[in-house]
Amino acid sequence: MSSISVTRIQRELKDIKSECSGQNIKIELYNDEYTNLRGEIVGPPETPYHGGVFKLIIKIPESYPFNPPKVSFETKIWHPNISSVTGAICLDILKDQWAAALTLRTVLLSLQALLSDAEPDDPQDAVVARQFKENKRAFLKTAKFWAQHYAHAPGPVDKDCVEKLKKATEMGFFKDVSLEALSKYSWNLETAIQHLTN
Amino acid sequence: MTRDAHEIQTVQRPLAGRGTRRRHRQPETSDSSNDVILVDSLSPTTTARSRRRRRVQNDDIVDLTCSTPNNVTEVPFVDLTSPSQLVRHNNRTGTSTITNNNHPETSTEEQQAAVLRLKCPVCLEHLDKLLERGSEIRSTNCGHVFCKPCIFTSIRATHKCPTCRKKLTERTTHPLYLPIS
Repeated sequence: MSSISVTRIQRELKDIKSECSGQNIKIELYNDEYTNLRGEIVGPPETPYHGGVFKLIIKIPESYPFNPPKVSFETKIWHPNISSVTGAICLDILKDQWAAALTLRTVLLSLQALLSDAEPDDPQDAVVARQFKENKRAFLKTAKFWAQHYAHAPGPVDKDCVEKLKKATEMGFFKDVSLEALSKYSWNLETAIQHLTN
Repeated sequence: MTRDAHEIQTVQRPLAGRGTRRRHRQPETSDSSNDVILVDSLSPTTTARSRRRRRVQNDDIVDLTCSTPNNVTEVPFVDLTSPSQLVRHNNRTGTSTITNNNHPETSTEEQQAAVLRLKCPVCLEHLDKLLERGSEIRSTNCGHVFCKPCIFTSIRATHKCPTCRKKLTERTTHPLYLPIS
């Protein structure tokens, strides 16, 4: 690991400690290596992710900060620009729009901004993006349920979702797989089961 | 989604001076008045400019070490601070934007100290530490300021400005000679 990337990460972590209280973001070292970090962002208000705690995997390339960090969601999330399967993120600043003056703090803040303001026309997850555009109600319902289920977001859980998920698992399907199918088919139990049995 | 990236840059920048390594160039300077100074350097230029003009008249000093005209002294104020960004930051954190009209005696030295609490955006080292070590500070043609090793490494790696992504070569940067005593 080059010395510039190590010093930079060290300074960033120090700055984050003094500057990020109250901003609902967190970054820490993972396994005491400066190549591997873990981040946390809290879902912003007025979104289906509100109050959920989303964990991020941050990998620092040797050429950092001249190349962007590799960031993905460890916590599962239902969002047009984040893969519901792998957690991969589609965000320009993590790709061609990266600039060395950006920091991990600004990356996390822009991920929070991405949760507030999805870009369905530049999707990472085509299924989620289509639902976002064609059935916004189902999208909001699913995103909120996922945030409560995976990210411990507070608030009353949608009874319809709980019931349908229970029915699917009672039929012998794994919970995660059932939730994925139900989400994909906008909580149509029949189509979801059909998909699961095929 | 360039809008996101843009937002980030404005949020990300103005962090200099909040660390613990604050340098007190004048013993009577308190933390709060330091904050005031930072804002002052960004406040509508008329105040700062008129103060400087007054100072020049009063002292009646001609800087013989400086071959360029007097207005060179204004360069750091123009180049190193981007008013909109820093002021926006103050608003965001709820810090009130106080101008220091009540402190007409505030010296240029203090303003310089505020400027030196800025960091190189690439290595995040404070400018005063860099200068202490004898590092050269450079500005790009697009007006962004870095330490020499960082801007040259950036240009070799990406051929772009680390702050605004404008295309750059080593020749489209130049040293900044800060008027520090």
